[in-house]
Amino acid sequence: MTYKDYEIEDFLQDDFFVSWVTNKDPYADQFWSSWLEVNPDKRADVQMARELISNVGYGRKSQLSSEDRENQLDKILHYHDSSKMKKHIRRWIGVRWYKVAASVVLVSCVLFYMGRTDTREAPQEVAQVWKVIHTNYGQKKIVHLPDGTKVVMNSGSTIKYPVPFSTERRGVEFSGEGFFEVTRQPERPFVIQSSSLKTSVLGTSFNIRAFVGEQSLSVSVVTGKVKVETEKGDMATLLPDDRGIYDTSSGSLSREVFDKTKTLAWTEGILLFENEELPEIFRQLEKWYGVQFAIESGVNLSGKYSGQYKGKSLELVLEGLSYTSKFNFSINNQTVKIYEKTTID
Amino acid sequence: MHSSDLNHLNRHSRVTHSRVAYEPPLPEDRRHDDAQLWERFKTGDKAALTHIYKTYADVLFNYGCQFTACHELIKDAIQDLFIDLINHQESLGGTNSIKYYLFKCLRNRLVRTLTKSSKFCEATIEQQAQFTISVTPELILINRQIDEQKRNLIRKKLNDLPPLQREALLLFYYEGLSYDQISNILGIKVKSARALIYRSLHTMGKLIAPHKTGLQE
Repeated sequence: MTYKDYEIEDFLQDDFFVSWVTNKDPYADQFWSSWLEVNPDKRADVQMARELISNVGYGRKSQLSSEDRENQLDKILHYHDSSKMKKHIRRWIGVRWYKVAASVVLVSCVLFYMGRTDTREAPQEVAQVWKVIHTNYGQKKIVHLPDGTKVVMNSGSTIKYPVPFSTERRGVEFSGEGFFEVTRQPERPFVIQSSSLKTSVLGTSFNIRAFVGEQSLSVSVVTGKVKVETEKGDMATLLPDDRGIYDTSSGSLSREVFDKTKTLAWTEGILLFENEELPEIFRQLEKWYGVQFAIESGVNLSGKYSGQYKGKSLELVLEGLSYTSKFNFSINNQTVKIYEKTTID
Repeated sequence: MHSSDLNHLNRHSRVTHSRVAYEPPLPEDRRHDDAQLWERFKTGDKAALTHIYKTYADVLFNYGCQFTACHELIKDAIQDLFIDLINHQESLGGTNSIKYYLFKCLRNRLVRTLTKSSKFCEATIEQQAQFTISVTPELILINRQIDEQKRNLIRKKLNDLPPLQREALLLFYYEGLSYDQISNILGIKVKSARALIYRSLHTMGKLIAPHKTGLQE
């Protein structure tokens, strides 16, 4: 069952859904708000489940008095200090090496054992567990799926996959941008569902771009053969150097030849602009560095820019851009303020 | 202006080939924080200990109060729990959820002392009254979908459930713990934890489904 088929009851039991409501988990937040945009018909159910979960609380609530809390913390800290002192003295008197060695062995046994139970329990108890991996803005990740497929995830992307994959099909849900190197298994196709586009392959490598909120989705094939299918059932088979583009507003599927260097630059940590306008560049920088731009009104952002940066700081990139433009900038934590350049010269 | 544009371009396309690897900043996610904080605590960091105590003292106390009304006993249990942790600081395992770890330790401790010392403490809570649930509206929700009447009905239904089931539900919905963690805390299988939650929710889902109007009690 996918989230699309969920009823209120199902949402109420779903770990990942509940973690969204209870923990304000940023990963979950990103996923569910994007998911709701794509599935507006589920909004009422989701809201209802959300409301109920957040309404549940303890019937009997108790709190430590602040005096009790202070006293207790004092006692605990005092104990901490004195025990630290004791340990110190013991150490100076002479270390009993055999004891240390024994405890090291013991600790590593315990850790090893704990590690084992952790991995063992999950797949046995639950037939199939869905895993969700998300990258925040400013972050990239390499994910290895259970079948050996490697996914390089760009910033602001989410992948959801079952462990283990089913026997007939390797199905994942994906939003954002990712470079997939799919392990070849002809008897078990690899299918990626991303909002309105379904991509099926047997074993190849390709770049997929499906950010929620962007007008077009694209699949760029590097090796092998890829089949894409839209919601309406339009289909296209893509070969190496082909890019399939799905326009979400017109619902049309088209094909073009793409520039491999440009498309895959991000997988090598290269930030690349080609004749792009500043607002679009700022949007990309937000994702790349995990910052937010605050643009003062009245700043002239006209002009087109190109550039290529590898391993450069945000400051350096902005310096380069502002050098030839009419804006100035300041970086404060995660916020970049853009304001008009005051002309002194 | 245009020629300087070009200069700028050239300047930067040259630096492209530098060998500096791109290291994106890692956002601090909570599990990561917890694991780090825990490691710091294990090395004897006083600030980490203080932070952990301040963050969890109240939630632990509240959790303890569900088992017994004897507040002294709960306070002692929390203090002993921290002292125990300090004593074994160096040999503790890692954790990426401190809250879960502390809940589990406190529960074990309380259950142990309560079976032993029920005679010393007058203020017991009947088993049936442990972990009562309230269903109260959140203030910030503007578009409320569940009205007073339904809320009361749900609360009644939930409080008819056995205490263990209510505990599981509170750990899941209120404390934000996962099935894995809940099963470990309660000492049951993950499958059973799922079943506990499932049974509690089955009736509730029906009660609040907007298109299902059969609201008989």
